[in-house]
Amino acid sequence: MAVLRILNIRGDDAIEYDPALEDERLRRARETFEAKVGKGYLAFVPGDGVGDGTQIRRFDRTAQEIILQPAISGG
Amino acid sequence: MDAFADHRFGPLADQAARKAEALLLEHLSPEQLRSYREKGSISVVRRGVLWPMVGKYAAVLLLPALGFWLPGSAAGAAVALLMLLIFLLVFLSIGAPSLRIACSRRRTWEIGARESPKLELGGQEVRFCVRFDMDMPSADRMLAYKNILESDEPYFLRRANVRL
Repeated sequence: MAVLRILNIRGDDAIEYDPALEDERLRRARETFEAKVGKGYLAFVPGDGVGDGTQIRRFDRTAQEIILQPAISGG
Repeated sequence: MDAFADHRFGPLADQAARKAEALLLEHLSPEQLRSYREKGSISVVRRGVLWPMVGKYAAVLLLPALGFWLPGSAAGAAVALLMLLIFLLVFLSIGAPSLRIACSRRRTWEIGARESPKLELGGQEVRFCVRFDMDMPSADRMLAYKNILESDEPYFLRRANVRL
């Protein structure tokens, strides 16, 4: 199973889905990803070691985990 | 209290904090995990000059001066040189910290629970004014800063303001 995590004030919300199965959960994960990234959220696929994570801008159904997080602004 | 306040101050805040910390711990390297348990902060080390940023700064400096340069004209070259010096002086007083960071070969970021990330650069500490566009538990903020600094450091430097 793969998971899309959305960081928020509750800690995080997670949507689990099977990357090999084109079903309702995968559709929900993809739609959530596109909606959040469209609103300026950043998406990351964590790596196994330090510094080998990647930022993505399109939904990658093959990633085992995607983290969506809010953008930052200068204070 | 409304639902948002519940998550900031109420019992749900503790639940959110525990959940966020569990997620953070899942994503730390053994060294970061040790640092988090000992100091409550983690480090991210980045190496290599940020050439795209250095190039941008060079363009900011050179392009206005080139506008005054006329081939074969000594006066034009002198004006261009003068403009370059003026821009250099103005730039060094305003943009020097960012340029220094971009030019450095090794940068050690310290991500703590309460403050925005700090940068240790050649024995000096550089602080930043930056915040997330949404409130999150502190462990989630740490994870989010770690993701940004490990994957897209120039984005952080473009958005955050150096605290002088």
